[in-house]
Amino acid sequence: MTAHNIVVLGLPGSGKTTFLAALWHLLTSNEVETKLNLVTLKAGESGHLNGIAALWRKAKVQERTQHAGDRTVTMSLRAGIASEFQLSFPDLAGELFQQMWETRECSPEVAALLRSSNVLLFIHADKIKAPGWIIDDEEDAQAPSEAGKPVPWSARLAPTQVKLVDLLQLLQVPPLDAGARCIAIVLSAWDKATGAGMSPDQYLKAHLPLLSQYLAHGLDKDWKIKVFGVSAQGGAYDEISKPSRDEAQRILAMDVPSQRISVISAEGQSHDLTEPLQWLLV
Amino acid sequence: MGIIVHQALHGYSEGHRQFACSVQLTPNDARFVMVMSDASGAGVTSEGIPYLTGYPLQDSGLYALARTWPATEMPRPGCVWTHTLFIAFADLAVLESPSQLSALFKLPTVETARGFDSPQHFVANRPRNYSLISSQQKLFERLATALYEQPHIQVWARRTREAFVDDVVLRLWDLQWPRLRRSFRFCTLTTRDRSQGRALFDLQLCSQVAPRLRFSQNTDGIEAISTSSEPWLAQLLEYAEHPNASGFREALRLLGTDLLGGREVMRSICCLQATLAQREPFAVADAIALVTPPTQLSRSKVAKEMVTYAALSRADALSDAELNYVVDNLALVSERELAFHGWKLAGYLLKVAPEKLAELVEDERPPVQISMRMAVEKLDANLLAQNLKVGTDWFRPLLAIRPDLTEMPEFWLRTQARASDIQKAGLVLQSEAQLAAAVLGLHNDTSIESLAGVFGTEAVLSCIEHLMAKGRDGGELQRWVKEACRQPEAVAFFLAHAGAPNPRLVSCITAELDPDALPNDYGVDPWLTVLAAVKQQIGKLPIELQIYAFQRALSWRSRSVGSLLCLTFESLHCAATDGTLALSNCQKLLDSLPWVRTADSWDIALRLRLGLAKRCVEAAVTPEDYVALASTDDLFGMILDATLKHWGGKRYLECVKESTEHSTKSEERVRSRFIAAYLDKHSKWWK
Repeated sequence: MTAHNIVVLGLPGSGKTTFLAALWHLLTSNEVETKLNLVTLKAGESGHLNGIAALWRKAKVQERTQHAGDRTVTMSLRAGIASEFQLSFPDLAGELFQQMWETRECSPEVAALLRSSNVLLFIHADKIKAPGWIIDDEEDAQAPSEAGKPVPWSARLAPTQVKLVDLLQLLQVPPLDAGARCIAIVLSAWDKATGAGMSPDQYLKAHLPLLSQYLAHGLDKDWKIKVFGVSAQGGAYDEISKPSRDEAQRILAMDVPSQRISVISAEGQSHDLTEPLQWLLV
Repeated sequence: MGIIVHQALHGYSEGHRQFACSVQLTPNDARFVMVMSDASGAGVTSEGIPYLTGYPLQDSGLYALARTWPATEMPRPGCVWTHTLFIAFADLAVLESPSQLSALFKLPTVETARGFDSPQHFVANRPRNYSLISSQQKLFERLATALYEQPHIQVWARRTREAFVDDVVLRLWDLQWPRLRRSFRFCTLTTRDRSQGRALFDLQLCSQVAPRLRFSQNTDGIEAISTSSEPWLAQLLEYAEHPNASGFREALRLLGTDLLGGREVMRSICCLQATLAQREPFAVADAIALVTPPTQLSRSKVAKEMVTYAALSRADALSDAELNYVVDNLALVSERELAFHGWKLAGYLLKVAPEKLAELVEDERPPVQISMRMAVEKLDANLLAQNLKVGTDWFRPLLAIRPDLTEMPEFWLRTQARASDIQKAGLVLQSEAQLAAAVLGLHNDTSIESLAGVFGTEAVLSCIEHLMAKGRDGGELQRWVKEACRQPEAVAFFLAHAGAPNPRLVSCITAELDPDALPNDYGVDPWLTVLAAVKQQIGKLPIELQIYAFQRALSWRSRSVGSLLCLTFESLHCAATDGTLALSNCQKLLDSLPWVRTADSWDIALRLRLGLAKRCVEAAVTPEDYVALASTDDLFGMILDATLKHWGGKRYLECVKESTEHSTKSEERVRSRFIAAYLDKHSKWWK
């Protein structure tokens, strides 16, 4: 059986776990047609997936993935009548990639995962930290955090696209270099971005221009890139143990939970979260 | 005087990150702290309660004790605040109750985040005694049972939401020795095993409603659900509630430092402490069993030392096996304790195994040797002597310390030591007190011979005389007399120079020596000297001495024949004539007397006269002595009869008559005339 690996990249809160929860529901519920179908899941992993899928079905916000909560999901899938293949992708904490940017550190285990030739890069469409104007930075520096003392610059304060470009640069040099790759960029929480009336590619270019330019000219020419807009939730979910919101109530009322999901690409729109995966593996 | 406690704060700001840290950690440790400071598992923050995590940072030499709170004000579920305290291993080791560190935890906020970048100064209070309430006690017992009866397995347990759960876990942590304490990993609320690689968590608690704790590695851990019924747990609980009541913490610290084990030795330590606290006689044996191979504690010098101390303090009531244990492990005991208890041990050893005491005073371990020697010096001499045993020579080391023993008859009586034994102990045998004690105590012939040889016959006889003067029975001293009499020359010298000889001693000597044994090569016969002195002391010689002296006179040895005969004949003759001279007393004498007809064999007086006459003639007894042999004319006449009958007797009588005819002494002249008349009367037949 052919084995494929996908590495899921994304800063904290970029929607990785929500994607996985929705994907699992999609594959197990068979409510909508998908390009990839589940054959089996590796033993011992269903507990975690069922847990996050249950929260997703209840329209509850996923708990953030802890530092030590990294899991690799391995499932056997089949595309139509083609032969079965094995797909592994880890649900890594976003702090790991943040750490790569801030402290230039990466554990050997994560480095091994990052050498996968298939990359799923998550960007929360509604939480893009834009570059600041110089005048704004000047005001921040003079903000009264401690009277008379400058606010030291921190890597944490860098704009989102700067961090992402750096991550992509790291993937092209040792020890993470693995040659040409396929990278599917997932603009998550796309439901928040539809109001702009742009396609995912346009949205990327408009809101993450540095990243867009890097994807066009900074990567090796053998790299393949595609941008997807994904709404794995369909709207704002409730937090656990807090009162339910109207939007979550509306989502819960949908007859077919899988239809919450929206996947937008240049080819169109569907509910099929396996599309980015299928594109990576073709 | 306190310790410096470093601290760090972790929380959520575009990802879980470190906000402040007062100490520079190694990169590995900083990553580990980042992981440990994050929520322990999915769903933990929804419990809404804070929890504790404890783990070592080996690279940095610090122990991290952290409290984590759900950060409900943060935008994402699962966010937490964690305040971590870092304590140096060395400081952790000296804290009596490290649980007191929990007082330093502060619930942080975004506004107060910066205040955690400086270390804190911590001053520990004296641990206080307080009882656990029922629910706390049950939890304590369950956790302790699982941790210490399943020491190699990860333990997990379900917990309630009450705050005392953290206190109970901290109390358990308090009761660990430094090495275990700084390696102990625990978390008081999690949904999954927090172990990373080989850094396994010892104790993890999960929500009461959770199905179980999830373990990622090939283990299920063990759930703490049962409570041990063994006494070690009761002991541990007692110590938990009364940390100041006993020396358990100190014992833990010492034993834990000495033992290489982890959780697996806690039960043994508690058992040992419980056993040592008992007062029953079997407690010592039980304690010794706990430190005898192949037990865990048998590898611990500290444990053996504790047991030895306990046994030493009861040194007056130990069995053989327990005594052997104490002796084998004496080197573990401090000099101060040896000095304090050594006397008790020495006294006990003296009673039950004195040879061991003798070994110990020469032990190659200097502290043992010094202590035992000091103890022996202080022991009562009578006690020492009374506990000596016959047949062995182990007392020599004791003698070297207590030479006064040789002045005690009991010593000699029990040891029957020889002179060489005493000399090998480095002592010199020279004092009268030593000889007197030996004379009174020894009855072994070889020993007596050796001592007599060292002191000399004269000293021995003088000693015996002295003892007799104090009322000692001659019978018990006969062996010594016998030994002394093996040196006749010395005895002769003694007798010749005895001022006021003890009659009983003289009698004893006569019992050992033949009448002709002592030499008399020149001067006055020592027997004459001593017997005359005795007669002067007591007025009359005992019949046995008379017989002896008469025999002496009849023998070839004496140069004072006449004087001896004068001293003894008449008295003997009177005893013979009045029937008080029993045959049994004088059989030897009779054997040396001249032959008589069978019909006359009953007449001892006759035989005495014949013997006398024979000796006088053959020895040419001086005329002065001859005429003084009898105080009455009748007896003198009988002597003349006997003399005349002897070959050469007439000539001898003629000589006596002529020698005394013109004597200046009237009694001699009278006797001369008597002899002349006698000769006239009895010699007519051949004229």
